[in-house]
Amino acid sequence: MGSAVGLHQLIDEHYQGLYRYAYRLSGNSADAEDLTQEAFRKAIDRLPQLRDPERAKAWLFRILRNAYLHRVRDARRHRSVPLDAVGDLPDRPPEEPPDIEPARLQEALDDLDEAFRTPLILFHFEEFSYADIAEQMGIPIGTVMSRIARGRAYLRTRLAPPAANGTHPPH
Amino acid sequence: MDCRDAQFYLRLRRPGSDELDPDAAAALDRHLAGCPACAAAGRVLADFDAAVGRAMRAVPVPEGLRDQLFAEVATRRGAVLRRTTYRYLAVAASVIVTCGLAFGVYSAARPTADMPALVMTQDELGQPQGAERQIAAFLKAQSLPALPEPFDPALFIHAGTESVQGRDVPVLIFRERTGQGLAKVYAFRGSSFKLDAIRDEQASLFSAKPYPNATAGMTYVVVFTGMDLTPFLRGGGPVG
Repeated sequence: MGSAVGLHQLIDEHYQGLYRYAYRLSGNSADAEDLTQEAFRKAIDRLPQLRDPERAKAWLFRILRNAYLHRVRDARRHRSVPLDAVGDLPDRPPEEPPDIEPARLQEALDDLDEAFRTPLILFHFEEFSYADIAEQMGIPIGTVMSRIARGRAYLRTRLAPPAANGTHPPH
Repeated sequence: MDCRDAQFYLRLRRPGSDELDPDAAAALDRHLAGCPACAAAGRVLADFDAAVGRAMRAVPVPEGLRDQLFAEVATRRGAVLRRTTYRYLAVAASVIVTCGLAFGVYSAARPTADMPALVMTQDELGQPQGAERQIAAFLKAQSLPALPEPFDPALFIHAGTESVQGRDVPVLIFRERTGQGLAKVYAFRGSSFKLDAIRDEQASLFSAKPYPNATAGMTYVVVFTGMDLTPFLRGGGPVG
């Protein structure tokens, strides 16, 4: 069982990133808070399994994702965008807005299947490499790259600025 | 590398670090140096990624979450330390049972308690379990009658089998309501053990109390810390 100092350090270093990840996965603060607490509860119980302290962040993120998947496995998503329907990038991407509203981003993420949402979220928590993400999700690195590429294309389409006539791109 | 390939690799490139194959990365850089259109597209993609990254991380963390997590640590560390203590107490309790039974059950030479085996079987202790249904399901699965005392299900820790004198014996473990004591309820069947010689035992920390059940052809033996079972019972109920 880790010392109190070690556990406190683990919490201090990672609780904010873990909460933000939980928020982006679940889409709301209540679930994010529950998931964060659940992840640390599990981490406390499994601390002897953490052999390399350098891997603590990836380990915690994996615990949290598994907790999230366990919660939603029986729940049906109200809808999800099949990214097979998202074509390849156009040859030249459209001009992008300088800033993206976090709420709009969350709406776009909420409509994504978890298989695409998770790698996209982890990709933008910059410390996670493609190899890290592949290990987190238990899928080949090529699959990660493909899903992220499609996810980024989807976000670029979805988060494009409204057209001049005020309409928004279709979901 | 042509523009089509460059666009393909730009989709995979992450701002700030490069996970592309070194040859592909070098070829892409050479193309971008000579193709203003692709270079501009690369800058737009990088700017978009940076904007998404900022938005992705723009999540306010609730006040008090850190304190809640610290409080959780304090609570769970206490629980784990109690479970660890139970592990050691359980070993000691098993020694009591083994020694007491060896004297009472066998008229021939008494075997030495196998401490390593006893310790290994305790490894699974400490997993948070326990409820009335689990107890009932365990007793049913083992074809055992109801427990001899009204043990409080809220104090239940674990049910399983323990090797005693080379035979698997069903055992249920309860913790003390306050304090760190424990009670282990062994179920000895007449088919495996000679039951008529089992009697009360007492050591400095533990007591052992038999509950013969002739109808069921078995005897419960409760090994517990202290001299009184009350701290393990529902509402501190009376001892039969």
